[in-house]
Amino acid sequence: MIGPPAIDALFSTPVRIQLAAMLASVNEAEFALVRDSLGVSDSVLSKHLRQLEEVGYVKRRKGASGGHLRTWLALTREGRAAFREHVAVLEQLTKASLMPLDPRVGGDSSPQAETIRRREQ
Amino acid sequence: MDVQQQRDEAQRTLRTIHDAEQIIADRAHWPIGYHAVCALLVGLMVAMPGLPRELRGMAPIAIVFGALALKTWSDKRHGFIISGWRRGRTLPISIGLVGVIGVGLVCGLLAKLRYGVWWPFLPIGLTVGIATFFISLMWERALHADMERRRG
Repeated sequence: MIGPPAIDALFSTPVRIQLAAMLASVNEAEFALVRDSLGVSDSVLSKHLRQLEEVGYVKRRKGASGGHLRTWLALTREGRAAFREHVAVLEQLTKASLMPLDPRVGGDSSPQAETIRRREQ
Repeated sequence: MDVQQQRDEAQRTLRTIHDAEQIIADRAHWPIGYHAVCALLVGLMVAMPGLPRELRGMAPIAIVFGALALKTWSDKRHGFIISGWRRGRTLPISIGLVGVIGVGLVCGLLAKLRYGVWWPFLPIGLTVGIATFFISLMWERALHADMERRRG
Protein backbone atom coordinates (compact mmCIF):
# COMPACT_ATOMS: atom_id res chain seq x y z
CA MET A 1 0.00 0.00 0.00
CA ILE A 2 1.30 3.45 -0.83
CA GLY A 3 0.97 5.84 2.09
CA PRO A 4 0.85 9.63 1.96
CA PRO A 5 4.20 11.33 1.14
CA ALA A 6 6.17 12.08 4.29
CA ILE A 7 7.87 15.28 5.38
CA ASP A 8 11.67 14.85 5.42
CA ALA A 9 12.65 15.25 9.08
CA LEU A 10 16.10 16.51 8.06
CA PHE A 11 14.50 19.66 6.68
CA SER A 12 12.47 20.25 9.81
CA THR A 13 14.56 23.11 11.22
CA PRO A 14 14.42 26.64 9.73
CA VAL A 15 18.23 26.78 9.29
CA ARG A 16 18.40 23.49 7.38
CA ILE A 17 15.44 24.28 5.15
CA GLN A 18 16.86 27.74 4.32
CA LEU A 19 20.28 26.25 3.73
CA ALA A 20 18.81 23.69 1.34
CA ALA A 21 16.72 26.35 -0.43
CA MET A 22 19.78 28.53 -1.01
CA LEU A 23 21.89 25.64 -2.25
CA ALA A 24 19.08 24.38 -4.49
CA SER A 25 19.09 27.74 -6.34
CA VAL A 26 22.79 27.52 -7.24
CA ASN A 27 25.45 24.96 -8.10
CA GLU A 28 27.73 25.96 -5.26
CA ALA A 29 27.60 28.64 -2.57
CA GLU A 30 30.34 29.92 -0.33
CA PHE A 31 30.18 29.03 3.36
CA ALA A 32 30.51 32.71 4.39
CA LEU A 33 27.62 33.81 2.15
CA VAL A 34 25.31 31.14 3.56
CA ARG A 35 26.38 31.86 7.15
CA ASP A 36 25.84 35.64 6.80
CA SER A 37 22.57 35.27 4.90
CA LEU A 38 21.12 32.93 7.50
CA GLY A 39 22.49 35.02 10.37
CA VAL A 40 24.06 32.08 12.21
CA SER A 41 27.53 31.42 13.60
CA ASP A 42 30.19 29.22 11.99
CA SER A 43 29.61 26.48 14.54
CA VAL A 44 25.82 26.44 14.14
CA LEU A 45 26.07 26.26 10.36
CA SER A 46 28.76 23.56 10.59
CA LYS A 47 26.56 21.50 12.91
CA HIS A 48 23.64 21.59 10.45
CA LEU A 49 25.95 20.93 7.53
CA ARG A 50 27.40 17.87 9.24
CA GLN A 51 23.91 16.45 9.70
CA LEU A 52 23.11 16.94 6.05
CA GLU A 53 26.51 15.59 5.00
CA GLU A 54 26.01 12.42 7.04
CA VAL A 55 22.97 11.47 4.97
CA GLY A 56 24.70 12.50 1.74
CA TYR A 57 22.56 15.58 1.02
CA VAL A 58 25.40 18.14 1.06
CA LYS A 59 29.06 18.12 0.05
CA ARG A 60 31.86 20.58 0.85
CA ARG A 61 34.79 21.60 -1.32
CA LYS A 62 37.80 23.70 -0.40
CA GLY A 63 39.01 25.97 -3.14
CA ALA A 64 41.37 28.91 -3.45
CA SER A 65 39.83 32.03 -4.94
CA GLY A 66 41.40 35.48 -5.04
CA GLY A 67 44.28 34.31 -2.83
CA HIS A 68 41.97 33.03 -0.08
CA LEU A 69 40.96 29.51 0.79
CA ARG A 70 37.18 29.29 0.61
CA THR A 71 34.73 26.55 1.46
CA TRP A 72 32.09 25.87 -1.15
CA LEU A 73 28.88 24.03 -0.35
CA ALA A 74 26.64 22.15 -2.74
CA LEU A 75 23.58 19.93 -2.61
CA THR A 76 24.23 16.44 -3.93
CA ARG A 77 21.88 14.83 -6.45
CA GLU A 78 20.16 13.01 -3.56
CA GLY A 79 19.92 16.26 -1.62
CA ARG A 80 18.31 18.07 -4.54
CA ALA A 81 15.81 15.25 -5.06
CA ALA A 82 14.96 15.14 -1.35
CA PHE A 83 14.51 18.92 -1.21
CA ARG A 84 12.29 18.94 -4.33
CA GLU A 85 10.18 16.18 -2.83
CA HIS A 86 9.94 18.03 0.49
CA VAL A 87 8.74 21.21 -1.24
CA ALA A 88 6.23 19.19 -3.26
CA VAL A 89 4.82 17.68 -0.05
CA LEU A 90 4.53 21.14 1.54
CA GLU A 91 2.73 22.48 -1.53
CA GLN A 92 0.44 19.48 -1.50
CA LEU A 93 -0.32 20.08 2.17
CA THR A 94 -1.27 23.71 1.61
CA LYS A 95 -3.57 22.75 -1.25
CA ALA A 96 -5.02 19.47 -0.01
CA SER A 97 -5.83 20.79 3.42
CA LEU A 98 -8.08 23.46 1.91
CA MET A 99 -10.72 20.70 1.92
CA PRO A 100 -11.73 19.17 5.26
CA LEU A 101 -10.39 15.63 5.52
CA ASP A 102 -13.06 14.43 7.93
CA PRO A 103 -16.31 13.84 6.01
CA ARG A 104 -18.34 14.52 9.16
CA VAL A 105 -17.10 18.11 9.14
CA GLY A 106 -18.95 18.73 5.88
CA GLY A 107 -17.72 19.90 2.53
CA ASP A 108 -16.92 16.39 1.25
CA SER A 109 -19.65 15.50 -1.25
CA SER A 110 -18.47 11.96 -2.03
CA PRO A 111 -21.09 9.13 -1.73
CA GLN A 112 -19.13 7.63 1.18
CA ALA A 113 -19.26 10.93 3.08
CA GLU A 114 -22.97 11.26 2.36
CA THR A 115 -23.58 7.76 3.77
CA ILE A 116 -21.65 8.57 6.96
CA ARG A 117 -23.57 11.85 7.41
CA ARG A 118 -26.96 10.14 6.88
CA ARG A 119 -26.05 7.33 9.30
CA GLU A 120 -25.07 9.82 12.00
CA GLN A 121 -28.30 11.81 11.61
CA MET B 1 -1.88 18.70 14.79
CA ASP B 2 -5.15 19.48 13.01
CA VAL B 3 -5.61 20.26 9.33
CA GLN B 4 -5.56 24.01 9.76
CA GLN B 5 -2.37 23.89 11.83
CA GLN B 6 -0.71 21.62 9.27
CA ARG B 7 -1.66 24.01 6.50
CA ASP B 8 -0.38 27.06 8.37
CA GLU B 9 2.88 25.29 9.20
CA ALA B 10 3.38 24.25 5.57
CA GLN B 11 2.68 27.80 4.38
CA ARG B 12 5.13 29.23 6.91
CA THR B 13 7.83 26.80 5.77
CA LEU B 14 7.21 27.62 2.11
CA ARG B 15 7.55 31.33 2.91
CA THR B 16 10.87 30.61 4.65
CA ILE B 17 12.05 28.73 1.54
CA HIS B 18 11.02 31.58 -0.75
CA ASP B 19 12.82 34.12 1.45
CA ALA B 20 16.04 32.08 1.20
CA GLU B 21 15.67 31.82 -2.59
CA GLN B 22 15.11 35.58 -2.74
CA ILE B 23 18.55 36.14 -1.13
CA ILE B 24 20.18 34.40 -4.09
CA ALA B 25 17.91 36.12 -6.65
CA ASP B 26 18.79 39.56 -5.21
CA ARG B 27 22.51 38.87 -5.60
CA ALA B 28 22.32 37.26 -9.05
CA HIS B 29 23.05 40.39 -11.07
CA TRP B 30 26.00 40.91 -13.36
CA PRO B 31 27.03 44.39 -14.54
CA ILE B 32 26.97 45.24 -18.23
CA GLY B 33 30.80 45.25 -18.24
CA TYR B 34 30.79 41.58 -17.28
CA HIS B 35 28.66 40.68 -20.30
CA ALA B 36 30.89 42.86 -22.50
CA VAL B 37 34.07 41.09 -21.34
CA CYS B 38 32.41 37.69 -21.92
CA ALA B 39 31.52 38.83 -25.44
CA LEU B 40 35.06 40.10 -26.03
CA LEU B 41 36.62 36.78 -24.97
CA VAL B 42 34.25 34.68 -27.08
CA GLY B 43 34.65 37.01 -30.08
CA LEU B 44 38.44 36.86 -29.71
CA MET B 45 38.34 33.08 -29.57
CA VAL B 46 36.47 32.89 -32.89
CA ALA B 47 38.54 35.65 -34.51
CA MET B 48 41.87 34.08 -33.41
CA PRO B 49 42.78 32.30 -36.68
CA GLY B 50 42.29 35.59 -38.56
CA LEU B 51 44.66 37.59 -36.34
CA PRO B 52 48.17 38.57 -37.52
CA ARG B 53 50.74 35.87 -36.74
CA GLU B 54 52.42 37.85 -33.91
CA LEU B 55 49.07 38.28 -32.09
CA ARG B 56 47.83 34.77 -32.76
CA GLY B 57 50.16 33.24 -30.17
CA MET B 58 49.13 35.68 -27.45
CA ALA B 59 45.38 35.36 -27.98
CA PRO B 60 44.89 31.95 -26.26
CA ILE B 61 46.86 33.17 -23.21
CA ALA B 62 44.74 36.34 -23.08
CA ILE B 63 41.54 34.28 -23.35
CA VAL B 64 42.54 31.84 -20.57
CA PHE B 65 43.68 34.62 -18.22
CA GLY B 66 40.62 36.72 -19.06
CA ALA B 67 38.24 33.83 -18.39
CA LEU B 68 39.97 33.00 -15.09
CA ALA B 69 39.90 36.64 -13.98
CA LEU B 70 36.21 36.90 -14.87
CA LYS B 71 35.37 33.73 -12.95
CA THR B 72 37.41 34.79 -9.90
CA TRP B 73 35.76 38.20 -9.87
CA SER B 74 32.27 36.73 -10.20
CA ASP B 75 32.83 34.07 -7.49
CA LYS B 76 34.21 36.70 -5.12
CA ARG B 77 31.44 39.20 -5.76
CA HIS B 78 28.52 36.80 -5.64
CA GLY B 79 29.69 34.05 -3.32
CA PHE B 80 27.98 31.43 -5.45
CA ILE B 81 28.41 29.61 -8.73
CA ILE B 82 25.61 29.01 -11.19
CA SER B 83 26.47 26.67 -14.04
CA GLY B 84 25.48 27.52 -17.60
CA TRP B 85 24.34 23.93 -17.94
CA ARG B 86 21.78 23.95 -15.12
CA ARG B 87 18.29 22.71 -15.96
CA GLY B 88 15.70 25.32 -16.86
CA ARG B 89 15.27 28.18 -19.31
CA THR B 90 18.98 28.97 -19.30
CA LEU B 91 19.97 25.59 -20.78
CA PRO B 92 18.67 26.18 -24.35
CA ILE B 93 20.34 29.62 -24.29
CA SER B 94 23.70 28.07 -23.32
CA ILE B 95 23.30 25.47 -26.07
CA GLY B 96 22.39 28.29 -28.48
CA LEU B 97 25.60 30.15 -27.63
CA VAL B 98 27.70 27.05 -28.31
CA GLY B 99 25.80 26.70 -31.61
CA VAL B 100 26.55 30.31 -32.60
CA ILE B 101 30.27 29.80 -31.84
CA GLY B 102 30.27 26.54 -33.82
CA VAL B 103 28.54 28.09 -36.83
CA GLY B 104 31.00 31.01 -36.74
CA LEU B 105 34.02 28.71 -36.73
CA VAL B 106 32.59 26.50 -39.50
CA CYS B 107 31.86 29.57 -41.68
CA GLY B 108 35.45 30.77 -41.16
CA LEU B 109 36.83 27.35 -42.09
CA LEU B 110 34.65 27.15 -45.20
CA ALA B 111 35.93 30.57 -46.29
CA LYS B 112 39.50 29.37 -45.76
CA LEU B 113 38.90 26.15 -47.74
CA ARG B 114 37.14 27.93 -50.58
CA TYR B 115 39.16 31.12 -50.92
CA GLY B 116 42.35 30.28 -49.02
CA VAL B 117 42.12 33.32 -46.73
CA TRP B 118 42.02 33.61 -42.95
CA TRP B 119 40.76 37.18 -42.59
CA PRO B 120 36.99 36.26 -42.66
CA PHE B 121 37.49 34.97 -39.10
CA LEU B 122 37.81 38.63 -37.99
CA PRO B 123 34.35 39.87 -39.05
CA ILE B 124 32.86 36.53 -38.01
CA GLY B 125 34.51 36.91 -34.58
CA LEU B 126 33.08 40.41 -34.28
CA THR B 127 29.59 39.16 -35.18
CA VAL B 128 29.83 36.25 -32.74
CA GLY B 129 31.10 38.65 -30.04
CA ILE B 130 28.11 40.96 -30.51
CA ALA B 131 25.74 37.98 -30.51
CA THR B 132 27.39 36.69 -27.31
CA PHE B 133 26.78 40.01 -25.58
CA PHE B 134 23.04 39.82 -26.20
CA ILE B 135 22.88 36.08 -25.49
CA SER B 136 24.65 36.69 -22.17
CA LEU B 137 22.10 39.38 -21.24
CA MET B 138 19.30 37.04 -22.29
CA TRP B 139 20.81 34.28 -20.12
CA GLU B 140 20.67 36.50 -17.05
CA ARG B 141 17.05 37.39 -17.75
CA ALA B 142 16.15 33.73 -18.20
CA LEU B 143 17.84 32.91 -14.88
CA HIS B 144 15.70 35.51 -13.10
CA ALA B 145 12.57 34.22 -14.83
CA ASP B 146 13.44 30.71 -13.60
CA MET B 147 13.97 31.94 -10.05
CA GLU B 148 10.74 33.94 -10.15
CA ARG B 149 8.80 30.90 -11.39
CA ARG B 150 10.22 28.76 -8.59
CA ARG B 151 9.02 31.28 -6.04
CA GLY B 152 5.56 31.17 -7.62
